[in-house]
Amino acid sequence: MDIDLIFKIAAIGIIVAVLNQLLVRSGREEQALMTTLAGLVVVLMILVQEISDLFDLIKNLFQL
Amino acid sequence: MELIAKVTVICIVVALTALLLERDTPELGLLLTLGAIAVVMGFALSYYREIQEMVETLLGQAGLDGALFLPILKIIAISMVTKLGGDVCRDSGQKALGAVIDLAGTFCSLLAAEPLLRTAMSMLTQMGGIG
Repeated sequence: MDIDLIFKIAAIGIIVAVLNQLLVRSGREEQALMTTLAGLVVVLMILVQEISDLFDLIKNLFQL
Repeated sequence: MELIAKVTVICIVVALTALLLERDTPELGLLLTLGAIAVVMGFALSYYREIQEMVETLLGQAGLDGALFLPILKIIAISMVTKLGGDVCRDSGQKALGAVIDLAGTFCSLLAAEPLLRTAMSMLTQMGGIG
């Protein structure tokens, strides 16, 4: 597990939040929603692997 | 000591960033929390081997079977996963999902404790001369 993961997710989150605000203020709510969705999918793709690794680690350590 | 300082700093930074993200994109705030959980759990579990060795030594000195300790280990793991999963659901406002995870964790813990209960029951019946 690497701490860079947290910074990566935080950076994506901040970028998406800023883009979301910009698009909402310029009256493009649909595109703002799509941007949020895209950010969500990207972060989920990164995170699913990490969560799976964590569960594997718990399974191995505790002999589940 | 080094671990707890590291974990505390990471968690405070993540909590602040999640607060910032939750204003516009609450789902990304939740995902950030999940990522922090994965990282911090990874750190904490890296120390687990030492604890396991210590417990095995103690069990050896007490003359107890190591197999008796296995269900306890499993229940610790189940309660860890259940607590974290349930609280993540509760944080996102889904209390019912959190309750379902707790319920599933309880059943899994009971199943994991079954060999211990069976051993205790057979010991009791032998002592009472029933079996």
